[in-house]
Amino acid sequence: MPTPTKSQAVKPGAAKLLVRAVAWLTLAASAMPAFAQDPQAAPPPADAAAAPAPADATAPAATPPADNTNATLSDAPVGTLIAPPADGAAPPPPESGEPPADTRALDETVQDLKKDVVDLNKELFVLEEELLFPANTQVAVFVSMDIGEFFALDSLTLKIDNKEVANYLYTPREAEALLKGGVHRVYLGNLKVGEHQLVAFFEGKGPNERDYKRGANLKFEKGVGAKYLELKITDRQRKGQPEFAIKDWE
Amino acid sequence: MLLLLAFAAVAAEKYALSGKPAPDLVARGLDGENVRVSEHRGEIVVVSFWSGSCNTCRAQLSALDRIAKTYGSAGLTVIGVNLDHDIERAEKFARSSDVQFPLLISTPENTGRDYGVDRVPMMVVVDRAGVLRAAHREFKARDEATYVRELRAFLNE
Repeated sequence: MPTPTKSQAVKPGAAKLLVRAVAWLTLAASAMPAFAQDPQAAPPPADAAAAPAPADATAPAATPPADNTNATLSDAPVGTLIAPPADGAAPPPPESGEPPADTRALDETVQDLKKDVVDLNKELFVLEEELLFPANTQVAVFVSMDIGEFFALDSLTLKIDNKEVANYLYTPREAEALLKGGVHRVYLGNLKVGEHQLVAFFEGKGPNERDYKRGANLKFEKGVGAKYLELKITDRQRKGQPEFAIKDWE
Repeated sequence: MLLLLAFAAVAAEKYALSGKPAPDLVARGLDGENVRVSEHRGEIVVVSFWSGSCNTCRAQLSALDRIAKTYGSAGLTVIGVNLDHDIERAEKFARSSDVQFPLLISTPENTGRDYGVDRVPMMVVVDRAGVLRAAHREFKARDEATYVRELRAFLNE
């Protein structure tokens, strides 16, 4: 019996994600009509002080009686027109200053939906990477820098099997981030199993602010798993020169 | 309402990429430092495309320099991007202009196409979210006031 490959293993994950996406859409659809139909669910005005006061006895005769402003559909007989609040104003906020329970519930639902969207987005991103760069063919190349006293990185050109696959210009901010311990993924791609050659050309300012260009190369064996390589720039203190090395990611 | 719709339609035709994310652009500046447009997310970025053979470009760059000095502290960044193949001429032009913002030369070949540049000078405005919002082609002295008005509106968003 053949062993399942990585791409086959992804399928149940995709189905699960699809189910989650459908569930999320259903939940969103069910929340929206509730918001539209339930007047109590409407969020309070942003500025309660700005809301017009409810109609009182001094209201002009043309406005509906103040009693009607608090009428609900359940109180009114069938066919009765429910008068809107005076001047079309929203109902006044509760005395305590706390939002009504329905509003709180709606807010919680919205927050849950937002969290679901973020989670879903994260999972889709991971799924996309797994589909575009399956583990059995994936190759990633990272750049790291240590100290950087003798070399200021300006650009990097990457060739795999004599084909240019990446060319990256580093801004001063990016170079600074590398010096602070950051690691930059400069390339992510697919390679078939077997032997390959990686060549990296580094350009920048070397000792004494002189233009400096160096290359490094590595022959590596791509197996069935993902391959991570690291381009490491270090300072060789004894020689006062930078050192460029390519190694398997540790 | 119809007038508004017609105006919106004309505005939309003005720059086909309006509303789309700004393509990332990185190139070496005249001072030797690399500049990346996406690093300025959160700021209003004006990208001005120029050529060393265009005198109007010089006037536009000078106007943008004045605007950048005034509104730089409010979050406005101006970047000049050269589209010439003749790097020597571009460098000569850039060194003779006294603008303070970065002037990028040796830009990738697809830069003009990515930004939909059909003539120079042309400037595009990228909003704080990294979305292309407006474009202006050619330059006349009175355009400076238009730029200021428009950029102030973007800065206030």
